[in-house]
Amino acid sequence: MFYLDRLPCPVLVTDCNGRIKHANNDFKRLTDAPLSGDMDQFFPPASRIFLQTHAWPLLLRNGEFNELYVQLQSGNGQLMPVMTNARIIEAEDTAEVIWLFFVAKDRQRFETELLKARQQAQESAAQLAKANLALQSAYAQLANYTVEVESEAEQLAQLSHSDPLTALSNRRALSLHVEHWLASTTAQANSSLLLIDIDHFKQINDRFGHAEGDRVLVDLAQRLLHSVRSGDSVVRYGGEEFAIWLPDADLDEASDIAQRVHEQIRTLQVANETVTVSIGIACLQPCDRYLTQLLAAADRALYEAKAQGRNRSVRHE
Amino acid sequence: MNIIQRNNVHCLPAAAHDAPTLVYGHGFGCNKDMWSRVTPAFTPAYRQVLFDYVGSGESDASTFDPVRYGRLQGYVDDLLEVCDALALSGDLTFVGHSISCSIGILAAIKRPQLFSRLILLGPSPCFLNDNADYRGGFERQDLEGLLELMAHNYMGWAKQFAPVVSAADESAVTTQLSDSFCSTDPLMARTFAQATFLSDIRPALPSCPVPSLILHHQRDALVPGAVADYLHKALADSRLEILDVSGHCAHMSHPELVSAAMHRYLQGTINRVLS
Repeated sequence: MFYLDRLPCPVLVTDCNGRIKHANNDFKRLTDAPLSGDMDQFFPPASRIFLQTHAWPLLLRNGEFNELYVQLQSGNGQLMPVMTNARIIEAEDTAEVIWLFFVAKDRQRFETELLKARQQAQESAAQLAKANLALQSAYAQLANYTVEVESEAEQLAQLSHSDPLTALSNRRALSLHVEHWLASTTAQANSSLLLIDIDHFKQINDRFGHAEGDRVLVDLAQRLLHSVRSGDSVVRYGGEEFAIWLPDADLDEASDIAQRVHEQIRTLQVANETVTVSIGIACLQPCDRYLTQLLAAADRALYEAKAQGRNRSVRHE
Repeated sequence: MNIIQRNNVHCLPAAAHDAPTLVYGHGFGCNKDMWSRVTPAFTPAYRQVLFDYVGSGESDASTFDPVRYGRLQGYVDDLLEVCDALALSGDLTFVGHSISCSIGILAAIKRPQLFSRLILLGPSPCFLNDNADYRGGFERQDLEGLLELMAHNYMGWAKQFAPVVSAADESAVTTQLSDSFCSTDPLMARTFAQATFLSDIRPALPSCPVPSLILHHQRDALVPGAVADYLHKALADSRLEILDVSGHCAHMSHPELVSAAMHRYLQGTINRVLS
């Protein structure tokens, strides 16, 4: 064991039960205690637990371990931080364990600081993760809320079928009326549509202002309502364009209504000038029962009425 | 949940389909591989079941719950769930090391019909000193010291924080203990350490419904001889054998002594059951 004393670190040799066989001078100086019996006596309780639960199993399984951190206890009870390597050596029919210890005071201090820094980093990471989670849940709530508001707005828009200026139904309501009628009627029944456009309305707006234009629109709306039967629907179709849906009316009946419209409007004036309208009349054909086709037909008739000099009705035959 | 994967369960088959079964529970600090020198002595006469508690070895770390595994009951439930997943029945012996002995006793109390007997290697019902009547061997501050040692030896980042704190290659900061033999994760090891060293199952001992063999290491660095006597007295129908061994890991350092003692006990008690 001469060489053990020359090695520049504390060395211990034990059997595989941890019973001391040799210790070099450095080890004796470090621990300052009588050297016999179990090596456990040189370790404080926490290190004993660590050796038994981690170091020995590792050593017995792998035949060695490296760089484990434990504490040695000197004769006067002082604790010495050490790093230790150990290896099982088969020698002369018996196995023994060589333990090398490296005093690690500085390293312990650095590691303690590192551990503290790590703990702080982990705590801030945990806080960040928590904040992130809170943000995510707030975001999810916001997204839900947005969806709710959007769908409410959409519902409200769909529920709204009236034109705010004239209080007439709007284009959406017209589709519903036509759909209802189509769903409830027989294949042979007819219905008609009047498409009514105010002649030279742009000039009214330009010459007398939009407020006067609006007054004309509201007045006209009232007159249209006075022109129709109880089951008919008057609709503000676009800017100065109106439509009247005449369920179960053929072209002749529709033409009668159109005539009533012209009569009702005869007294509608702007600055002593009479306002007139052009009307396109179309009948829903039994074969093409779609509102778009009906509107297109009425539109063609209206165009024809305009072309023929306005203030008149034209039937789409 | 797949318990077989969660607890890294491995079965060593027996020659006979109705062979008695041994279920092994590892101690704190290690995994099921610590039994590898004992199991060959029971192959293929016994069916043998090995597993890792969640947080140890190659268990599924994603299922780790610090609340569940902060108490011994969490480990008891692991053991019972492994037995249930394998539908174990018939003659069943639990073989535990160290804290697994306490886990086995609590499991036997919870499910009295499941186990036929317990083999307890290095058991201690309470590692801490209580009063003059009971000296477990350690004080509470020793546990603090142990946790500090573990922190120094697990300098690597806890896995669940690694992606947040540092994108660095984890292998660069691994230590000797990162070997899955000792532990998979410092926080889980810490949780197991606290569950182990703060547990006290002394009040439960009289309720243990099955016979047991206590194998005490003669010079155990963790369990004083008086604790083995205490346990022997408190456990009804227990047998105490002292192994001429130093340390706390006879199944690794002296596997032949452990398996011989197990054989003697099993042959005696299983025959007794059969007759």
